[in-house]
Amino acid sequence: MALLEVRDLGVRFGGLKAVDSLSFAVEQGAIKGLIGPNGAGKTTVFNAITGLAATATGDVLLDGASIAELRPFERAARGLARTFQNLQIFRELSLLENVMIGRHVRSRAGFVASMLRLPGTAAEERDLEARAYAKLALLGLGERALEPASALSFGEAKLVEIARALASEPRLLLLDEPAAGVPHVEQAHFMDIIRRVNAEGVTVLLVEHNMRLVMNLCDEILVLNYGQRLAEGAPADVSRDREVIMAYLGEEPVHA
Amino acid sequence: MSYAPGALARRVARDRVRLALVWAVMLAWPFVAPNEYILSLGVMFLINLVLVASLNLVLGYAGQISLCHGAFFGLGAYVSGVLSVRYGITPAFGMAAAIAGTTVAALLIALPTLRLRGHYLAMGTLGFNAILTVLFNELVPLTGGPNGLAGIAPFGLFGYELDTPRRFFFVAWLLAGVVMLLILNLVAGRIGRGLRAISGSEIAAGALGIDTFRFKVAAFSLSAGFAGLAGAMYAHFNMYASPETFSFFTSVLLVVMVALGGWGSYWGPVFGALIYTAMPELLRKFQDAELFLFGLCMIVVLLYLPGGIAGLRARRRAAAPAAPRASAAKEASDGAA
Repeated sequence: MALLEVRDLGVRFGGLKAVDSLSFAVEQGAIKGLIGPNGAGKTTVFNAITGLAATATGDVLLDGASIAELRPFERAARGLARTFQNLQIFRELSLLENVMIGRHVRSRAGFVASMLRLPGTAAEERDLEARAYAKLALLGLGERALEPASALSFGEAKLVEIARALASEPRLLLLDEPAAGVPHVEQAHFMDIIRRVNAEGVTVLLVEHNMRLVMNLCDEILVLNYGQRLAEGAPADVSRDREVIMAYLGEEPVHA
Repeated sequence: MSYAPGALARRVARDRVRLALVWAVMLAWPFVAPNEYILSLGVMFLINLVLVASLNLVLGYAGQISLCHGAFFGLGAYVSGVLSVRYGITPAFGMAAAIAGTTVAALLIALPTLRLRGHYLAMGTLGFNAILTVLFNELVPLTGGPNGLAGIAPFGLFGYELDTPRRFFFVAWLLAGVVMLLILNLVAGRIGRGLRAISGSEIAAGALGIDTFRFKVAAFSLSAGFAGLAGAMYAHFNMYASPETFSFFTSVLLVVMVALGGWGSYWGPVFGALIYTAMPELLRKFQDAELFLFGLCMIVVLLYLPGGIAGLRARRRAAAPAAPRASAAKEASDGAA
């Protein structure tokens, strides 16, 4: 059964149909790629799934239950986590605190319990810290856990965003151009991380411009153009699709 | 800055020890203050500390502009003061009513205004301050109007009246200490991180599962409750309250004090409250120039010291050459200044 199902999704910005009656599914355990030319509506689809963009039509189902009416924080509690194309890292906070915030939905302390720092709250804090550190260490940033996020390079900040998203133990991870702006030498590292995360049971939906990465990583690819589905299928099939080649990949077929 | 497991937990423990030390030292004030006047400044400092620290919660940590903190301060003072003068209610109960009253008032204000952002939020809270100032002035049968509310009973403990600065100091010391400890625990934990996340990026905070609106409303109400406590402390210490103490000017100056101390820094309000208490005394001879000098300070801080006074230490540390490992480990477990 599909973990994520998008049905007849429509998003409008004024008169512009940014996404138009789009339907697709992401199977449990898959890595699915969402590609398309600039302005095709990829990030808008992400925003509609996570609740940041208002939908004009359609429905979004997670594990068969509609989440279309939920606010972003409620969707996060249901198991959605995402990263942002233009980093949304908390620059003033340490890497550790950034990742601990990622585990917000898996922790409980409220205002009163926090103020009194009840024994349970203190224990939860220690647990949060240990888990967040483990996530950072996994991505090779453990040594720098106490540095402010503002000290990070762009590529490192993208890694911390992934660690932060993973901290909530999501069912579906949405990565918005995870490798964009990351130096070429680090891209293999990113692919490796995404594979490892997926192997641990996290379903991944990613937007990416780097064709090599998409073709290597994804089980299935959805090609968007002008907010509509142009093609969908295995990487090999999509890269041979005439319309896709015309609209997006250029005149020559791409060899993955 | 290498990481050792449990560094954050140790950092909180360290800040608690610091707080305990500072509070222990402060206990000497009534014994070293040369006269009652200087002693009373110590009491005012503690009251102002509760006020500035509570505003810092909303402004510094959650990043929401509030221009009505002076009104919450006043509401607390008038609730407890009016209950005392008109109904003969004991100050301790009046104080509890002041906290409850301001918290509820803030909740009612927060629900519509915290849906606003930036300039609009500032204007909304400003409007609330204006409304309360009018009420303080116009509800003459209750508040005494522009003449002020006189005859507020001093704080009492087991029938013993704490009517001198020396006697009241210990109450203020205890209450401010409790508030500072509660705030320390709050900002060091899950809620504090959530508030700072909202300040950093509301979109990211929401995507990570933080109910941003609820958090903002709760922080705003809690902050107002503390301001209400400060107001009640002020009313029973001063035994008099008048509307101009709680005007829009007060609200603006409190924002300035949060900035001077250091936005979102735990120790910042200590510096802010020190300046807020001492400045008018030092600048008394300049009279009308007081506000001018305050304004000048604000501009200087914004231009040259964006982290406020509490940010100085962090800057010095950053400027120092890389320390050897032993001191690096010490810094790693160092407090959040």
